[in-house]
Amino acid sequence: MKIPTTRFGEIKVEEKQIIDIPGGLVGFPQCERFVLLEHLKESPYRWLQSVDEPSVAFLVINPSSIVKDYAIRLNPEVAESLYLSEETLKMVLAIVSVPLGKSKEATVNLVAPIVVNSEKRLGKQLILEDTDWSIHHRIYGTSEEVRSVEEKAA
Amino acid sequence: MLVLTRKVHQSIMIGDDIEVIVLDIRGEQVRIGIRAPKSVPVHRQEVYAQIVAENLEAARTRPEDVPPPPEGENSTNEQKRNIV
Repeated sequence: MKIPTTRFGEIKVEEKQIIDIPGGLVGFPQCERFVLLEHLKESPYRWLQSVDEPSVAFLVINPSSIVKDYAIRLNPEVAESLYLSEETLKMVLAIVSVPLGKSKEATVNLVAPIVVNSEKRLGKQLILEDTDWSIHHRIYGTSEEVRSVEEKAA
Repeated sequence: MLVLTRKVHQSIMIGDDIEVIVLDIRGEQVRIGIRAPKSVPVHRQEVYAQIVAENLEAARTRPEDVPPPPEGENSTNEQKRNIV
């Protein structure tokens, strides 16, 4: 099937490449089917493009490539709803947000990762409770570093 | 909004399978227990609202603003996007 997208034009998608996210992403209940696209060759960034809404696409990254010790504990209910066991091939994606024209201010949301059962291509966006991770984790330098640079400049 | 008065250990049924129980009241804090089917996600409202706002913001990210890889490697300008 061919799907229209706002950012990437028309793309050809096979049914088996679609990732189902029942109930959609948080705030996007109408977007329940996605495909994962490369950003650029070799780039760790990828796009989670909605199959149903051409304008909805999220820049995503494996959070472990940003924070080495990132780990999430799946509760049994979530694991069951995604048919996940220890052995199941899975991937974790975190949504990246880049302010208009400000690449260096990119942040990644470590509180609401998307967990995907790669075998069944079934996913869910989790909301971690009582976590120390940030919704706006700076990818390039910490906010403290940015602040000290600003202070020096002032 | 429906408003009900409850005492500690009393509960409220929402539909047939969601139960909200007042467990404890200490000063300004109320401990609430929720029994709901596994398919019903339960979150603190303010956290949920933050994630909605962040997802809405993230959905505005443009391809031309995507930063280089965090490790500093430069990507080639390959135009074709493969589905992963």
